[in-house]
Amino acid sequence: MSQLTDLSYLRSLTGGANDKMIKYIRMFLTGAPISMQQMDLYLVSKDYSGLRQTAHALKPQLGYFGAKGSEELVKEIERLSGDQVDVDRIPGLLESFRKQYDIISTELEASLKELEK
Amino acid sequence: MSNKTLVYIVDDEPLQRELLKDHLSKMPAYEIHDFPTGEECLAAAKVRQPEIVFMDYNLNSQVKDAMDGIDALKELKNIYPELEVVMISGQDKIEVAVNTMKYGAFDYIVKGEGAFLRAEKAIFNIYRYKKMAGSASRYKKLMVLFGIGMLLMIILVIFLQTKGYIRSSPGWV
Repeated sequence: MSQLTDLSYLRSLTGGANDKMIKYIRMFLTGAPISMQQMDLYLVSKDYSGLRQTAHALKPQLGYFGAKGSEELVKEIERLSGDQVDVDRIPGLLESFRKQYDIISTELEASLKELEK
Repeated sequence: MSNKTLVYIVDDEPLQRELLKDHLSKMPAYEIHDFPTGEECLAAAKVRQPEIVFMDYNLNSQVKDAMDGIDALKELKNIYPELEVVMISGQDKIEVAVNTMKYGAFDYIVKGEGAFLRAEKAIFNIYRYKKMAGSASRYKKLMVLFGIGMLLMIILVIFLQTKGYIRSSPGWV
């Protein structure tokens, strides 16, 4: 199975500096679950403005780690909650993103181990 | 006091802030400080004026009632009209960019892979713009002085003519 993440952009941005890559991956792994939790809460309370805002903030971060497919998913969540159309699709999209994030975090944890060697 | 250019970065996303800060810190000419909210940036700017500010458009993903980027931009420009603010956003909508320019932003950068190079380029463009504005202002002053000089010369010639010290036509014609 092909990987969901690709660290080549981050590698070129940091000039291959492992310490910086480790720092950014750790920051993402700390921040992203909080954002997902926030999105769940916003969805439950039907606060679509908050949901759009959180999805909007998370979206570019996924791109930095090469998770383009997930970036598109979050972009769609942002669009639907921003326009408040087809909001009944949002729970399914969030669920798909959660599953993808589980894979992303596993891949990034493995990358961290490699970088820390 | 250092001679470095003071740059402020305002973004509510820690990773985004850190990435831009690290990228710009590669250049030793900049002293960079970062803030998670517009309110904190404004408080710091009142104490020490930055030359350039990179401001996120949406600043309320963490703190819901936080000031947004446009309001922070307006306040900064109100305090320091000459300060250059570069807006950053995940939105690639043209109307968002136009809106920021309307309130005096120097440039608008869409978050993503090209954003960090664009930020570097924005600083370069700010310097180039300031240099050009300085040259234009010097040129304007020079033109005004030249105009005054010409006017004085005409007045002198008219005065000398009326007093009969000089003739309308030169003697050799």
